[in-house]
Amino acid sequence: QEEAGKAAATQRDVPRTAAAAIPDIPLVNQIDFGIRGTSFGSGSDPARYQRYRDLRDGGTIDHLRIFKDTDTHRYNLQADNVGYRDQRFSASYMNYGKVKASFEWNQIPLFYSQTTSTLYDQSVPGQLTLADSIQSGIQNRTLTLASALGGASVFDLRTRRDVADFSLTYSANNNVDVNLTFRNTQKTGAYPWGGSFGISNAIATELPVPVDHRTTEFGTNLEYANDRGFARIGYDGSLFRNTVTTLTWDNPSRVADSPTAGPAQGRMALWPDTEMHTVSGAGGLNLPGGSHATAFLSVSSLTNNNPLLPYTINSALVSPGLDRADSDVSARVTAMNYAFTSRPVATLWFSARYRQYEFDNRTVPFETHDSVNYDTTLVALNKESEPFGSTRHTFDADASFTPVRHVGFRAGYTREDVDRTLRIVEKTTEDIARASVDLTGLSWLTVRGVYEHSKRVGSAVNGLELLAIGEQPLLRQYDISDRNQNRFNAIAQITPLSSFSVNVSAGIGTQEYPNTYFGLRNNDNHVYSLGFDYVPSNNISLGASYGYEKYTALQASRTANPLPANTEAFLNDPTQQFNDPRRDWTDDSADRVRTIDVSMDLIKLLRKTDIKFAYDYSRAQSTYTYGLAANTVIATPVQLSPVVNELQRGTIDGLYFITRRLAVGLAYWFDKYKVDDFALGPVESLAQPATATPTLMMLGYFYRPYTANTVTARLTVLW
Amino acid sequence: GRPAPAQSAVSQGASAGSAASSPSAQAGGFVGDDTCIACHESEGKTLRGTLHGKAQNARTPAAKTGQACESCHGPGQAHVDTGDKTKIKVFTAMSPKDANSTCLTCHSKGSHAQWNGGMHDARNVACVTCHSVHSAKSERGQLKTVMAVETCQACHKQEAMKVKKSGHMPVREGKMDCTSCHTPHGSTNVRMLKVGNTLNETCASCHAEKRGPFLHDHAAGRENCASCHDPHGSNNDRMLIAKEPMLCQRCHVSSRHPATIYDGTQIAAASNRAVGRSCVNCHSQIHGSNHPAGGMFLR
Repeated sequence: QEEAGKAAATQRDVPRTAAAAIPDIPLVNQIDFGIRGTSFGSGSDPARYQRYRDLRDGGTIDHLRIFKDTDTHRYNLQADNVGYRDQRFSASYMNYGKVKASFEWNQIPLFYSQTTSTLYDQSVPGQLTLADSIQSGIQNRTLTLASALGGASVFDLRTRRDVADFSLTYSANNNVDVNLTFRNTQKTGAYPWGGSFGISNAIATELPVPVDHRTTEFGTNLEYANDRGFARIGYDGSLFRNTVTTLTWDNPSRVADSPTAGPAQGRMALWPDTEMHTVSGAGGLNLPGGSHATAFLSVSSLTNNNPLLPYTINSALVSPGLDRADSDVSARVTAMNYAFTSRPVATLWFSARYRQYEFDNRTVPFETHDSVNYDTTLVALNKESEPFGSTRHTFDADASFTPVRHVGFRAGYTREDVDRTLRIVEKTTEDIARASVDLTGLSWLTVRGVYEHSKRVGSAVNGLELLAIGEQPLLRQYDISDRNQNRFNAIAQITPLSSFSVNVSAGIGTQEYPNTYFGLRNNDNHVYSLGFDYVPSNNISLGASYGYEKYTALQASRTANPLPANTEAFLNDPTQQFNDPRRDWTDDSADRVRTIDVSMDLIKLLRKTDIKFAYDYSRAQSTYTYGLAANTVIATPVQLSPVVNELQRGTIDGLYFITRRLAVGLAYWFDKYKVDDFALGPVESLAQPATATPTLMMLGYFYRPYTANTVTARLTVLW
Repeated sequence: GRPAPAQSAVSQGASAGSAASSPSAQAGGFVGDDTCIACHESEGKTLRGTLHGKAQNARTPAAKTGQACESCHGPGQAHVDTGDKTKIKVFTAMSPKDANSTCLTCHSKGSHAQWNGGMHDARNVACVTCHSVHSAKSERGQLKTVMAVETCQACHKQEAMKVKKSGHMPVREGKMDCTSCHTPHGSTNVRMLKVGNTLNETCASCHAEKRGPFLHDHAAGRENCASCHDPHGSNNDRMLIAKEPMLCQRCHVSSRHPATIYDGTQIAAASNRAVGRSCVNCHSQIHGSNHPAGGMFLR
C-alpha cells in the first residue's frame, strides 16, 4: 500500500532528483551539480512559467543534503537551488533529549511579468513620476496616451519574500521544554496596483507599487507535561514595518493641480506599521475513564498608530482638517477554548468543545465632515469610520460509536453565534448537524464518509440602513446572510491485491441563501475523483487519477439609478428605476475543471538506472451567463466568452549510477499553459479603450500562455 | 525453534551496562529487546536510525533499558510463547484510538496536546495512518510518503486538486506544504490551522501587511479572508473565489456602477471596471485603508 501510494506521489514543479538507491549502508549525503536550459515556444510568458521559481539557464547546485547521526547528536544541512532567486538553506542540530535547533533561509520569488512597461519613473520608492511633457501634452490634447505609451520602459515586475526562520527547544528535564522562535520575513519588489482620479474622464492607472516591508515574529513558551497532563504559557509578538508607507503618483492627464479638473498627483496610504502582541496559557488534565480536559486562553493587543496623511495632495483644494493626527487604531483580541473528551469504554467516545473569539475593536470612530474624492473633488461626507468588531461563540459536541475496531460512527452538532458591531446583520446563529462513518484498519478497504447540514439565521435586517448607503434594501451579503448548507464527502480506497489499489472520492456541497433577493443566491460544488496505484514489483510503480470539479453560483442585481438622496420617501415610487424589477439581472456562473495525473517510476528496472515519468493535465473552463427578467426593459447583454485555463506538465527524469556513489542524470520537463481570459488577456495598447478616450492605463501584466521545454543534466554525488 | 537472542541494534544504543534480559526487563511479561529483535531484526535496525531509537533522550522508547520495543508494543511474553500476533500491539491492526493512546503517552506537548477532540481524532485517523516508526520516507516527521502533501491528499482530494489550479500558493513549487498552514495533530484554531485563533490570524502570519486593523476596514475581510479568497487555489486571479467584478457584485449591488452588467459590450469598450483587475483598478485598498479619505478604499 505504501508503495502504491508512492506511485501517486505529487509531482513537484521543480525537476526532482530521482531517488538514490538504498544500499545496505544508506548513503545519506548528496549533492547535485548540473546545467539547465529552457527553450520557450513563440509568444510564451517566461514569467508565469517561473511564477514562484527561478529557472534561468545556467549551472545548478541543488539538493545538498548533509546528515550526520550519532547516538547523541544529529546534524543536518540542506541547500536547494543555490544561487537562484528561489534558493533555500537550512541547518538543524539536535542534542538528543536536550536541545533542538533549526534555521532556515527560504527565498520565495513571485515573478509577475517581464513584459510590463510603464511611463512612470520608479527611481524614488513610493514616488512614481511622469515627465511633465507627457502630462501637459495629454492635458492640452497635443499628445495621446496611446502615443505616449510608445515611450514606456519595459521592466520586470516581481517581488521576493526572504524568510529567515529560527527555532530552539531546550528540554530542561524529562517534563519541561522551553521553546523559542524567531522569524523575519522581508518582502521587496513591486506588484501591480491601481490608482484612480475619479469616474468621469479620468485615467485609472495600473502602477508598479513598491514593496519593501518586513515582518518580525518572535515567541517563547514554557511547556510542562507528564502523564497527568500538560501546562503551557507563552508570548508571541509580531511587528510589521513598512519602509514605503505612502505612494504618490502623477496624474497622466494633468500637469497642474486644479480645484475642478483634478490634481497633478494622487497620494494614498500604503500598508501601515502594525504590531500584535499575544500572551497565552494552556493546560490539560488526563482524567479517569479515558477522559481529557484542556483549556486555552490568549489575549492579544493589535495596534496601528501611524501619522495620517492629509485628505489630499491637491494644492488647489483646501484639505479638510483631520479628526486626529494619527490613525490610533487598536483592538483587543481574547480567545479561549475549552475541550473535554472521554472514552469511558472502548466503543464509545465523546467530545465537547467551547470556543470563543472576541475581536474588540477599540478604535474611536474617525469622523469626517468634509472629504476629498480621488484628490479631485471636495465633498461633504459627514460620516465616521466603522471600526468593526465581532464575538464568536462556538460549541461543538460529538459522539462516536466503534462497535468493532474497523468501523466508527460519529454524530455531532455545532452551534455558532456571532455578534457583530457595525454590520447590517449584527447577530447570526448557525446550527450544524453532522454524521460520519469511517471504515479503517482493513488491509483491503478504507471508506470514509461525512454528511453535514447547517442552517444559519441572522438577526433582522433594517433595509433602510442599506438604503441609506445607496444599497438595495433586499440585498443580503453572503458572508452573514441566512444560509442553508449541505456537504457530503466520501472517499474509498480498495486494495484487492497488495500491489494494486483503487481510490474513488466524491464531494458535494450546496449553499442556498433563502432570504436573498439581491446578492448571492446559491453556490454549489461537485467534485469527483478516481485513481489507481499499481506496484507490480519493487522496480515498477504506476499511478493515475482523474478528477472532475464543478462549481456553480447564481447571483442577482438590478441596474438602476439611485433614489433621490437615497431616501425612504421614494422607496415605493414605481417611477423610480431603483424600484423596477424589470431591471433585474442575474449572473449564473459555472466553473468546470478536469484534472488528470499519470506517473510511472522504474527503479533499477534497467541496470543501474532509475527513470521516472509523470504527466499532469488540468483544464478549467469558467462561464458567466447573464439572465434578465421576462419583461425586462434593459438591453440584452452580450454574453461573456468562457475563461479557459489549461495546464500541462510532463516530466521524464533519469538517473544512471556509474558507481554506487556517483550518478549522472538527465531530466526533461515539458510545460504548457493555455489561457483565454476576457478581462486579463493581452491587449494591443496599454491605453484602454484604444479607440476612444482612454480611461485605463495598463501595466501590461496579463495572463499569457507559455510553452516551455526545460532540460537539466546533472551529476549526483552520494556519500 | 526460535533463534538465539542476539545483541540488538537498539540495545547497542542503550546506555552502557544495560541488560536486555535484566530482571526488570523480564518483569510484567516483558521479554526484552534482544528477544524481539531475534525475529524482527529489520525493525530493530530501522528503529535505531530514528529519533525513537536515541537512548540519550530519556523520553524515547530506547531509553527504557531493554524495553525499547515493548514500551510501545507492550509486553511480549505471551506473543513469544504462542507466536500469536494478537498477543502484541500491532498498531495497524488496532483500533485507531487504542493505537493513538500509545503514541500520546509520550507525544503530549505542542500540537499533540490538542489531539484529543480534534478533527482527525473524531474521524478515527490513527497516528500510523500518516506516520511510520520503522519505515518512514519523509525527511521530517517520519511520514509514510516522501512529501507531506502526498500524505494529506490521500484523503483531502478536493484540496489537492485546487492546488493545481492557475491561482495557487507555491505548494506545487515546493516552497510550502499543507503543514505551512495546518497542524494535523490538532490546534486551538479552527480547521486545524497552525497559527493564531482564526483563519485571518493564520493568513496574517505571512500576509501581515493586510492584518490591520486599519482606519477603514473592509468588513468582510475583517471577519474572514476566505469570504473572498480560496487559500487552496482557484482559477481566478489572486485565488479569489469568483472572478471580478462578479465577486464584488455579490455584496455590492448599489446604484451606479456596482449594479452594471459587465458584459461583452463593456469588455469591448474596455471599461476600466471590467478589464484588467476590474474593481480593484480603482478600489486598490480593498483590504483596508489608513488614509482619511479611504472609506471607499480608493486611497
